[in-house]
Amino acid sequence: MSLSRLLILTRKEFVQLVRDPLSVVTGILLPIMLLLICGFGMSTDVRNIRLAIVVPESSPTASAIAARFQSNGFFDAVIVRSTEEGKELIRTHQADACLFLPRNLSRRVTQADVQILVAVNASNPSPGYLKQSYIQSSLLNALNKISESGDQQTISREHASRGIEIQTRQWFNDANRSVYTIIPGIIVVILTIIGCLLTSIVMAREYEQGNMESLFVTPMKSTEIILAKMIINFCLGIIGLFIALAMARYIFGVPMRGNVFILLFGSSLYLIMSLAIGILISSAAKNQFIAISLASFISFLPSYLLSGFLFEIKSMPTFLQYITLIVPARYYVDFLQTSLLVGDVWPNILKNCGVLILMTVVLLFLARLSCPKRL
Amino acid sequence: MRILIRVYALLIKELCQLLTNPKVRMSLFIPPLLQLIFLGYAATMDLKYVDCAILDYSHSPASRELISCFTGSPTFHVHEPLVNEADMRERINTRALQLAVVIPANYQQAEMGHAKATVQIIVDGRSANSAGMALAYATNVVNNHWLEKAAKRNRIRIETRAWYNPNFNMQFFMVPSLLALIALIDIMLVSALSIVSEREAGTFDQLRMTPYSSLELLIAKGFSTLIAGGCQLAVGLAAAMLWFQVPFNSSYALLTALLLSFLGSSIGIGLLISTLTENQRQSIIVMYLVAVPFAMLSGMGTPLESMPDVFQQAMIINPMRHGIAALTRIFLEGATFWELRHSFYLLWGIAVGSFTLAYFFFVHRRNDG
Amino acid sequence: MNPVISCNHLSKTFRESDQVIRAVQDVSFEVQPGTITGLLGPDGAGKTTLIRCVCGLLRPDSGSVSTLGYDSVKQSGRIQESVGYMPQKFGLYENMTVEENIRLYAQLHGIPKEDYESRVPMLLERNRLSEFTSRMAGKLSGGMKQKLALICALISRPQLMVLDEPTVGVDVLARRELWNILRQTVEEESMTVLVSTAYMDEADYCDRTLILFEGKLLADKTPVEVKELGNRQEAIGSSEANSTAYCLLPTASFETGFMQLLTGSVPEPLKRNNPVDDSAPEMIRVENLVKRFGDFTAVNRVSFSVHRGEIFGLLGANGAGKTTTFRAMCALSRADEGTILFDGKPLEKNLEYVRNNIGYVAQKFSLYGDITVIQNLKFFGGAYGLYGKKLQERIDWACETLNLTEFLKLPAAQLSMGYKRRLAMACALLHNPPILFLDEATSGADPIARREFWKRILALADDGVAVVITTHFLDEAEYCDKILIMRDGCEVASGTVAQVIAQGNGATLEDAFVNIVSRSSETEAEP
Repeated sequence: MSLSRLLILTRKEFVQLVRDPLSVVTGILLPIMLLLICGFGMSTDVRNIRLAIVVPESSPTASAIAARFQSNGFFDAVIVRSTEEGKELIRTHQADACLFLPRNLSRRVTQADVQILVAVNASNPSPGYLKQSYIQSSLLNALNKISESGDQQTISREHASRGIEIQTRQWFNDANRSVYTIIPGIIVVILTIIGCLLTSIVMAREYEQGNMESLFVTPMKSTEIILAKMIINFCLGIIGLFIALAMARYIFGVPMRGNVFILLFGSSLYLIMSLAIGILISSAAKNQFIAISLASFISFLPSYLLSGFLFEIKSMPTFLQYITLIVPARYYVDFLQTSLLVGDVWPNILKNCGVLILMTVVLLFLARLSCPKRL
Repeated sequence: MRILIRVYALLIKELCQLLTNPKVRMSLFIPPLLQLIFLGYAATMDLKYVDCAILDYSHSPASRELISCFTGSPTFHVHEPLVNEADMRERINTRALQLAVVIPANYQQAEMGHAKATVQIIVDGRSANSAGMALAYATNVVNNHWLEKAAKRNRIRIETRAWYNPNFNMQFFMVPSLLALIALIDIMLVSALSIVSEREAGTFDQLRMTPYSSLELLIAKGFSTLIAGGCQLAVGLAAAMLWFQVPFNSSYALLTALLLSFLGSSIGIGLLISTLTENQRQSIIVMYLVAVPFAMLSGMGTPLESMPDVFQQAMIINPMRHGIAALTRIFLEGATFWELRHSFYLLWGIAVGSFTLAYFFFVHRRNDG
Repeated sequence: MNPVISCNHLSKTFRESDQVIRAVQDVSFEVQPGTITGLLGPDGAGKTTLIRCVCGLLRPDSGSVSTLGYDSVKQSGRIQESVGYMPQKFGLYENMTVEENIRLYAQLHGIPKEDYESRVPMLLERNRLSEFTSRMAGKLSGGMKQKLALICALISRPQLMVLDEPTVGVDVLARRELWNILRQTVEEESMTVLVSTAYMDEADYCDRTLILFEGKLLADKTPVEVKELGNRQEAIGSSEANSTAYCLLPTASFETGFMQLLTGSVPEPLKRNNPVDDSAPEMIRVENLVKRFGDFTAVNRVSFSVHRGEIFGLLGANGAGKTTTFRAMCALSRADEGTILFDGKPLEKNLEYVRNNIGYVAQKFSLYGDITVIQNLKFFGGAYGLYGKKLQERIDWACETLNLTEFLKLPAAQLSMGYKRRLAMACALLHNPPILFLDEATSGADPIARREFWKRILALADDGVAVVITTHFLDEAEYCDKILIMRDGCEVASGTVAQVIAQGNGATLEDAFVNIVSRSSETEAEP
C-alpha cells in the first residue's frame, strides 16, 4: 500500500468520471429524476373518491347524508336514482364506489332498523380497501351527526357508540403524507444504483477495454486499484445522497429528526457495502452486460422490492421473509426511516449498523480476494 | 412475391436468433417466470400480520370485549398489554409494535352513553403503505364491534361489498400488472437492442447490402419481437391462471387483442430507441430512463388517481398505464371491447406513432450513415 | 548471459462451456537480452495467452516461465513492476488526453519528475505525437493510439518490453515506423523486446522468431534460417512460375519458409487462367466521387472503373479514405458529389437492382454468430429472394465448393476463423453476384488460408466476376489486375502493379507504396 500511488489512481478515476457522461447522468441526474417522479408522482394518498349515492326516494335523511358526502373534500359524490344506474357507473369506471340507501330511509332510521350497503370496485384492492374504509367511517359519522342534530331522537338514544369516537394518529407522519415514506426508499435505491450498478459497470468496462490488463502490469497493488475506484464512487454516492437529502428536506419537507452525523455514518456504511458488492460483481462478470444484469438481479431489485420500503416484509410468505434477512437494504431502510422520521433510537441504530458493519467487512474481504492481479 | 420471400427469410432469421439459442431462450422465459412468481408473492400491499398492543386504562368488561375483537382478528397479533405511554412510545420506536390502541378510563361509561370518550389508534407512520392500511383495518375492527353491539338493540347495519375481488386479494391485481411490467421491460429491451446490436456486431452493414428496404427491415424486426413477446406472455399468462388462480371473466380473443396491442406499442417505443442510439450501452440506458418512470407511474405501485393531474396527463403516452388498466378490467371485471375502446385506441396510437417516428429516423440514418 | 525469459514446457488450456481450447501446448524457449524476438502466428495460434503467461497475468496449467529471473506464478508482482507491457487493446483511457495518459503511467511506475521531463518530450518527438498532447486518446487514429500505448509502456525504461500484436489493423507505413522506434530503443537502452504479430513479413525486423501454430511452437530460428527453408524448396519449382505475374509467393520470403515448416513443401504459385481483357464491359464506373464529413473531405474527386472479370485493389494508409470510397460504392453511405454507375445505371436510383447484384464480405465477416451455419445460409439466400429448390441448389453448391457440409448444424460463432471466412464467402456468393466486394477479408489469416482464399477469388474472376478489394497485405495486392492508391482522400497512383511499382520507384510493391504514400506529406491525417 502506498498512499502516493493511491492518490495518483484516485486522480485518474476522478478525471475519468468527470468525462464520462454516463456516470454524471447516473450520479447526479438520476437521483433528481427519481426523487421528482416518486416524490410528486407516487402517492398512496386517497383523494377524490368518486362515489355514487343511490337515493331511490328523496327524504330528509337521505338528503342529509348525501349533503355530508358532497361537502366532504375527499369525495366526488353524484346522486343517482336506481340501483342499476349505480352499478353501471361502477362498471364503466365512472364511479369507484357506490352507496345504496334503502327506501323509506327516514322511517327506518327512526325505527333503528336500517341496512345500508357500500360497494367498492376492488379490482385494485389496496386503494379499494382504503376507500371502503373511508366511506364506512364517514357514513357512521354522518349517521351519528344526524341523530345528534335532534330530529331523530330515537336513534341517538339507542346508538351504542354515541359518546365515543375514534381518533387515529399516524405517529412520525401526522399529516399522513406518503412522500415521507417513499423518499427514504428512493434514497436507498439511489445509493444502490450508484454503489453497485454504476461501480460494476465502470469496472467491467475497464476489463473490457483492456485497461485492467495494463494496470496489472504496473507496480500497482490490486488493493490500491480497488480502493481508488471505491473512493471516487463513494464521493459520487455521497454527492447523490446530499442531493437527495437536500431535496427531501427543502422540496418535500421531510423532517430529519435524528442526528445528521449518525445518518451520514449509516449511509456511508451502506454505500461502502454496495461498492464492495459492485466490485465483486464486476470481477465475476468482466463484461458490461453481464454486470448490469447481475447487479440488477443481486442488488437493485432486492433493494427495491425486498427492503420493506414498498411492501411490508411481515406480510410476505415465510420463505421470502427469510430471504430478506440477507438483503442489506432491509437494514438500511429501517435505519433511514427511523433516523429521518423518528430520531435517534439507539437499539435500532445499533442493530442495523451492527449488521451493516458485519456485512461490509465480509464483502470487502471477498472483494479483495476476488481481485488478484491476474486475468 | 419476392418481397414476401425476403421478409419471411428475415423473420425466420430473427426468430432463430431469439428462440433457437438455448441461452437466449432461457433468458426470455425463465427469469420472467421467476420474477412473476417471486414478485407475485413479494408485492403484497395487503396486510397479513400487524404487531399490536393495547393500553387499557378502563379495565372494564366493555374494554375487554373490545380487546377480544383484536385478539380474534387474524390480522392483528396482540402482544403483552402496554403499561403506560412511555412503554408504548418505546415499543413503537423500536418497531416491536406497529400499532397501539389506547382505551380511555371512562370507556365503559361512554359506551353506556353517560360520558364522552375517545379511543385512540396509533400507528407507526414509517412503514410506507402499510400504515394507512393498518389504521383502516383497526378502525374497521372497532367500528364493526360497535355496530354489532348496536345491532343487538337496534338493527342499523352497514354492509360492505368488494365487487370484482370480494376478498381484496392483492395478487389478483398484482399478477396481471406484473405480466405487463415484465413484458414491457423485456420486450422493450429486446426491440431496443435489435438494431443497435447488429450495428455493433457489424452485421448491420451486411444487412444493408442486401436488397431489403427500410420498411421491410423494421417490420421484420418488430414482427419477430412481437412473436417472441407473445410466447413470453403466453407462458406468463399460464402461470397467472394456473399458479395464482387469477379469475378470468372475459373472452380470450379480447385478451389476445389487448396483449398484442400492448406489445405493439412497447415494441414501437423500443424500435424508436434503437434507431436513435449508437451502441448497446446507450440504448440500454435510454431504455431504462424511459421504462422506469413508465413503470413507476403506471398505476401498479400507487393508484393513478392519487397522482397529480400533470402526471396523469403526461402518462397518456405510457403504454403500461393503458395496459394495466385494461388488463385488470379484462381479468377481473369481464369488460367488453366497447368499454375498453379508449385504452385500445391509445395503445394503437402509441404503436403507430412510435413506429412511424422510428421509420422516419431509420430512413434518415440509413441514407446518411 | 542469463536469458531474460525462459519458458519450460508451458501449457494452458481454456474451457468454454463444452469446448476445450488448448491455447498453448508444451512450449519451451528462451529469450536472450538485448534482442527483439518476434512471436509469429495466425489468429488463434495462442500468442496472447503465451504473452499473458510471460507477464504473470495468467497461471499456466503446467510448465513454468521465468521472466527477468522471477517465477511467473510466485513472483508475478515483481515481474509486473519491471516489465513494460502493451496489451492488444492498448489499455489507454479513451477519455483522457495523450498527456494525461502518459503522466498516469509515469506516476504509476514512480518515475521521478526530472526523469519524466527529460524523457517524455524525446519519446513524443520520436513518435511524432508532440502536437497532439492535449487530444483525447479516444480521438486518435489507430496508428497514433498504438504509438501512445508504446510511449506509456516505454516510459518506465523497462528492461523487458512485451508487445501483444501492436501492428494489427495498422498500415504498412505506421508499421515500419513502429519497428524503427523499437529497434532504436533497443539499441539505445539495452532493452529486450518480445513482440507478437500475425504479419509474417514483419519477421524481417526481428533478431529471432518463434513461430506458433495452433498452440504449438513450430520453430525457434532466426528469420534468415526460416527464409532459407523456403528458398531450398523454391529452387525446384520456380523456373516457370516466375514467368507469370500472378503468384502468391513471388520471391523467397519468410512466408515461404513458414509454409515449408507447416506443410513440408512450398506450393505452386497461383495463376489466372483467363486474364481480363480490356474490351470487357465496365461493371462499375466511379467519377469524381466526393464525400465530406463536416469540414473534412474524406474522399476528394476520385475516379476509376472496374471491368468484368477484373480484380481491383483499393490501397492506402489508415485514414486515406479507402473505406469511405468503399462504403460509397456499396451504397452504404451517400456520396456528396460525383456519379457511381453500376452496369451503366446510376447507383442512387437503382438501389434495389444494385443490392441484388453485389456480394459483400466485411472485415469482421458479418455473420450471425448465434445461429447455425445452415440458418445463416438460408437467411442470406432468402434475403436475395431465393427459395425452394433454387435456394437448396445454391446452398448445396456453396457447401460443396467451400467444404462447409460437416458444420451445417454448428452455430457460426463456434467456427474457426478460416471457416467463418468461408461461410462469409458462401453467403456473399449464394445469389451469383456479378460484383464482389471484399473489405480486408484476409486480415489475421495464416498463409495457407490466405492462399486458399485467393485461389477462390482468382477462380471467380476467371468466371467473369468483378472483384473490388481493400487490404493491408501488399503481397496480396499483387494479384490485382489494377490498383488504386489513395492518400488524404485523393488518388495518388493507379494502374497495374507494374505501373505502380514504376511510379513509386521501388523494387517491390511495398517499397513503391511507402514511397508514394509518404512522398509529399509527413503528418498523419485524421480519419
